[in-house]
Amino acid sequence: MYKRLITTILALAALTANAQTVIEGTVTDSLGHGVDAYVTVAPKGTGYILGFADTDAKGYYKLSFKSTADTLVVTAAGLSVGNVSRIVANKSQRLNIRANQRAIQLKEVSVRAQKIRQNGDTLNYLVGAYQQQGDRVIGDVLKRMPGIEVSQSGGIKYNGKSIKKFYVEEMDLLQGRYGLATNNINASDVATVQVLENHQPVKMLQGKELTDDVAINLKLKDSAKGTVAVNTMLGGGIQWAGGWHIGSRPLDDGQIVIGQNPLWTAEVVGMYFAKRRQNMTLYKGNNTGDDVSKELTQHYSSINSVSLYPFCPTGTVMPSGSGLPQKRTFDNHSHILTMNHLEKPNKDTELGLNIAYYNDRIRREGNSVGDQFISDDSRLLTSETMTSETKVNNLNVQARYNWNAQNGFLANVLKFDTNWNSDRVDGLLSSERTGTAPVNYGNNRVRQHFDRPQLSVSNTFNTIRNIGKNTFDLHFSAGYFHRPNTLTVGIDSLLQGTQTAYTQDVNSHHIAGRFNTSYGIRVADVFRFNYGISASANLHGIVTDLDGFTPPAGNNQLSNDLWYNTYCLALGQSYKYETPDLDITLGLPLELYTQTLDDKIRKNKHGYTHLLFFPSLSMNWSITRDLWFNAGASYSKTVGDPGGIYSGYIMSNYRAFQRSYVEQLSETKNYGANVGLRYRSAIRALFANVGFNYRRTHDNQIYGYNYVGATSVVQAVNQPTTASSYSVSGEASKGFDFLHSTIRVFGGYGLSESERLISQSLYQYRAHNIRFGGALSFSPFEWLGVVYTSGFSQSFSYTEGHRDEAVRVKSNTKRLSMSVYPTKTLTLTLAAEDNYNNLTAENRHAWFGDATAKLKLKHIDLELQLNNLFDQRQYTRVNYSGLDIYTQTSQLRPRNIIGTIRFKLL
Amino acid sequence: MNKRIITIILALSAVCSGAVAQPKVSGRVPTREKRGYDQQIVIDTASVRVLYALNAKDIKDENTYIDLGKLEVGRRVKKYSSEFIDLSDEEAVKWKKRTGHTGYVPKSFWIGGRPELHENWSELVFSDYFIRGNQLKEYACFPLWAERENSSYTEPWPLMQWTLADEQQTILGHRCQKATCRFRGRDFVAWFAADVPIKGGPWKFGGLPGCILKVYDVQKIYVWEAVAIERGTYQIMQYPDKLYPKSTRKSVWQRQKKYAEDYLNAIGWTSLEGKPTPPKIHFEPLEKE
Repeated sequence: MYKRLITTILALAALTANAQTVIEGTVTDSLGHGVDAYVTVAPKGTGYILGFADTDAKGYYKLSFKSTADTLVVTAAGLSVGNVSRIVANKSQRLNIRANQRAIQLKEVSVRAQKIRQNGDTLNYLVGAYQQQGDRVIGDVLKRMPGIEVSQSGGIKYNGKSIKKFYVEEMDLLQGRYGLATNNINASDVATVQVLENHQPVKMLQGKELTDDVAINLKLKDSAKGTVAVNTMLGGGIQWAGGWHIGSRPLDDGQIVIGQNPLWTAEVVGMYFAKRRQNMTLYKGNNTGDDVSKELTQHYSSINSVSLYPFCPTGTVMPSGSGLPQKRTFDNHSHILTMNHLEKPNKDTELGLNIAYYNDRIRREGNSVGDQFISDDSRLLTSETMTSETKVNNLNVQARYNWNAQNGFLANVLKFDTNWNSDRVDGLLSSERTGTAPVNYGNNRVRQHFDRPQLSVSNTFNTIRNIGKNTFDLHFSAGYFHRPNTLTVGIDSLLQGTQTAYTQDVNSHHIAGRFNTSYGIRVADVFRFNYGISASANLHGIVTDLDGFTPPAGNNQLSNDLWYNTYCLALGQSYKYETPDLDITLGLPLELYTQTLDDKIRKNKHGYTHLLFFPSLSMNWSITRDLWFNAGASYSKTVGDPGGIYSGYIMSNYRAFQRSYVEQLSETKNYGANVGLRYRSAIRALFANVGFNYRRTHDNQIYGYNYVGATSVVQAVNQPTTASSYSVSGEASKGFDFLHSTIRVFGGYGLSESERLISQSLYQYRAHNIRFGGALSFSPFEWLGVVYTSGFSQSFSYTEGHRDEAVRVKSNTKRLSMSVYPTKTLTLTLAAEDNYNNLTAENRHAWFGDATAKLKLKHIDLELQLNNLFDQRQYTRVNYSGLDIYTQTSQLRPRNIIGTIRFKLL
Repeated sequence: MNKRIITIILALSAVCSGAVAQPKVSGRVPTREKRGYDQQIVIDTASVRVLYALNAKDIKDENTYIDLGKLEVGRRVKKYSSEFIDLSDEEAVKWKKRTGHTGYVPKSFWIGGRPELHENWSELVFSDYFIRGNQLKEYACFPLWAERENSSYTEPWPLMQWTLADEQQTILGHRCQKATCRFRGRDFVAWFAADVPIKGGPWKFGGLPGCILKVYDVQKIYVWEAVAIERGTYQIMQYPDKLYPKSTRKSVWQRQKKYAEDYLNAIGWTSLEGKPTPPKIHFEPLEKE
C-alpha cells in the first residue's frame, strides 16, 4: 500500500516537473505603448534560453516551455530598449514588463587586425580599439596609434611625414593650431581618426594635381555633433619649496626655486561641431609648468602667405634649456584665450575667424659654464649664473574666406599679429683666459633688458580656375612687419669697480609682396607642363644705433641707416610625367634677382642683378600599393641677405658685437639630394620609412671670431667655405593584437663637415651624431597598461688633427609608465624616468618619478598628480662641440602635488 | 576486397561531404554603373552594424575572406550586403570621377578579400538583402554581360525554424548559445548572443532571440563569423528598383545557379576559333532547393 502511494507521488512529481509553463504578458514603454521586442526565458544562473517569443503590435507575448528550474529569468530585449530582465518563479503566470525606451549602447568589439581599415587613400583608425581607460582627450589615443607620432611640441607626423591639414568633420576650423583639437576634444567623442594620404585639399585639383601630402580628419560620433559642450577644469596644489607669493617675484629675491605657492590651474573649453558651423573657444591658465601656449602653435598655414622676417640680430643671453621635458623647469604664469569660428553657408564656402591671445610671465634660473676654444694655446672659461623673466603678450587674428568647389577655388586670408614682449635678465659672469697668457677678467654683474615689440599684417589671395583640361592659378600676397626693439645692458665690473652700459636700438621694417601665376597644361593624360611668372619684392628698412661700445681700431661706426631691397622676376617651368604609380617632375625655374642697397650713413648706393637658376628633379614611385620610393636632387643659389650688409657694429648680445659688411655680396650655392622608402600596411598595422639626405653648401664668405676679453667680435670675411652633411634615418611602428601592444623603433646617423675661422685660423670641423630608441606599449592584463620608452644619443665632434682628444657625449633617457585600472572608474599611473649624461660630473643618472590618480565619477572627473616624487632640484647637462664645452645647470620644479576637478557645464 | 570497398566509400563520402567544396565564384564582376551604384538612395540610417567574415582562412586577416559582409540595423530596415563591394565601389567611383576615366577600373581598386577572387562574381557577394518587418527582399545582381538578369524578389522572414541547444561559446566577447535548423536542403548551426538585441544575422539568417554571431552549414561549405560590432551612423542604401525588376525566388535561384555553374554558356559566348565552352563547374548552392 505504501509502495503504491510512494509510486503515485513520484509519478505526479515527475509529471509536475515536466509540465508546460506558460508565461504571457506585455512589454510596454513608459506610456503603456507596445514595444517591438522579443522575450526570452532561461533558468536562473545558466544563461541557456529555453524559449522565446516576439511581441506583437500591442507588445503582447506568450512563452511556452518546459523546465524543472525553480526560478527563471524572463528578459525583454530590443535595440530600442536594451535588455530588461525579471526573475520569476517557474509557474504559469502573467508578466507585464515595462521597458523604458533608450538607445542601447552596444560595446564596440572587433577581432580583425583592421583596427586600421584602409579605404583607398584613407586609413581609418578605430578610436575604440586604441583607447585605454586613462585616456581623456584624442591626443592621448593618437599617441598609441601605429604610424602616427605626436612630438613634444604637439606636431603630428604620419609615417615620418608632417601632416599638412587637420580637419574635424572635414572642416579646417583651427587653421594649423590642431593642438587645440588634440588636447581638448574628448577621445570618447571621436569615432574614427582618418589619415588622408595623397591629400589634395583643392577640390577642383583632385585627380589633376597629385600630391603626397598627408592630412588627418577626426570623425566624431553622432552624440558629439550639433551640441554645445562646455567643459571646465579647476585645480590647485602646493610644492615642497618656493615660498608663497601672489603676483610676480622680483628677479633679485635671492630664491632659485622654480615655481611658487600656491599652484593653480584652470580651463574652460567650449566646443560646437555641426554640419554648417563649428566653434572652439577656450581659456586655459596655470602656474604649474604646463605650457598651454603649445596648443596655439600653428603647425601649418592654410595658405601660402608671404614670408615676413624683419631684420633684428639682437637678443639677450638667457639661461638655456635643460633638455628635460619642459614641465620640470617651466616657471610660468600662463594664460591663453582663443576663439575659432567657422561658418559654412553652403557646401563649398567657408568663412573663418581665428583669434588667439597668449599672456605669460616666464622665469628661468640657471648656471652655465663655458670652456671655449680661442686658439691652439688658450681657452676662455666663463661661468654665468642667471635669473630671467620674460613677459609675453601675443595677439593673433586671422580672418578667411574660402570657396572650394569642383569648378573653381578662391581663398583670401587676412592676418594680423602683434607682440609686446620683453626680457629681463640678471646675472653674474666670471671669466678668465687660460693657456700661455692667462688673464682673469674677474666677476661682472650683468643686467640685460630687451624690449621687443613687433607688429605684422598681411593679406593673401589665391584663385584657381579650370580652362578646359588646363588650370590657371593666380596668387597674390602682401605684408608689412615692424620691430622697434631696444636692448639695454649694464655691466658692473666687481674686480675693477667700473660700470659699463650698452644700449642697442634696432628699428626694422619689412615690406613684402609676391605675385605669382601659373598655367598648367595637360598633354596626353600623362604629362603636365606648368609655366608661371612670379614677381616679388622685399624692402628692408634698417635703422640701428649702438651706444657704449668701443670698437676695435679701424672702424668706429656704431649705427646703421639703410634700405636693402630685393626684387625678383621669375619664370617658373616644371615638367611632370604622372601615372597612377609613377611621377617624375623636372623643375627649371629661372630668376632675375636684383638687390639694391641704400646706405645713408656711408652714402653708398648701389645695386646688383643676377640671373639665377634653380633646377630640381624629383621622383615618386608607388612600387606596390603599400610601398613607395622617392628620390630628388636640387641645386640653388642665394645672393646676399640683410644679415650681411651692415657696416656699423650691432650688439648681438652683451658678449658679441658683429658687423657683416664686406664689399662683395654673400653668395651661397646649395646642393641637395635625397632618397627614401616608405612602407605601410593597414592590414598588418605596420609602418616604416627610411631616408638618406645629402646637403652641401658653398659660401664665398665665412664669419670670423675674435675675442676681446670674454667678448667675441664677429666679422664676415671674404673667404670661401664649404659645408656638407649626410644623414640617414628610419623609423618603424607596428600594432599587435597580442596584449594590445604597439611597438616603435627609430634610429639615425648624421655626419656634418664644416670650417670655422677663429682668431684668423681656419679649423676643419667634423661632427658625428647617432641616435636610436624605441617605445613599447602593451596591456598584459585588462587591469594594467604599460608604456616603456627609451632613447639613446651619442655625439662625437672634433677639429681636424684633434680626433684623439675628442670626447663622446652620450645621453640616454628611459621612461616606464604603468597604469593600473582597479575599477572601471579609477586609473592609477606611476612613472619613473632616468636621464643619463656621461659627462656630468655628479648625478649622471637623474631619476624622476611621477604618480597620477584619476577617478571618473558620473558627472565629474577627479585627478591628483604627484610630480617629481624624488624631489630632484637641479639637472646638469653637458654639451661638447669639438671646440667648446658647455655645462648647463638648470633649476627644477620641486616635488609638487596638484588636484583637479573636471566637469561639464553644458 | 573489403578494404578496397571501405576505401572507395571513404573517398566518396569525403567528396560528397564537401570537405573540399567551396562556395562557387566565377564569371566577372558586373560593372558598377549597371549595378546602379551611383543611383542608390538612402532608405534608413543604422546606428549599429555587425561585420561578418565569409569563409575566413584567418579570421584576423581580411585578405583571407571570400567576403566581409555587413548587417546594418536601422530603425525600420535591416540590410545585409558586402562591405568589400561598397568600399571598392566608393573608391572606384571617386577615382573615375577624378580622372574622367570610362570603362573598367584597375583590379587594384578591389579592396579586401582573397586576391585571387578580386575579379570574380559570386551570387552571395553581389546580392543585397533587406528586411522590413516580416518581409525579406533580395536584390540579386548578375555577372558581367548578364546584368539584364538583375532581379529582385520578396519572401517572408524569418525563414528558419530553430531548435535551441544547451551549448555555449564566446564570440567577440559575447556568450553565444547554439541553435540548429534545417533550411532548404541544408542543416545549419548558429551561435547567437542573447545580450546583443538584434534579431538577425548574415544573409537571410534570423529569427533567433539575439544576434547570430556565427553560422555555418554542417558541412562547413559556408561559414560566417562576426568579426566586429561597430557603432556609428551608417546610411542604408538601396539600389533603384527599375534596375532590379520583380521576379520570384525560384527564378532567381535557378539563374544564379546557371551563371555560377556555366557562366560562358549562360551568357551565350561562342568562340570565334570554334573552341568548345569549358565544362560545367561543380557548384554547391547555399540553398539546395
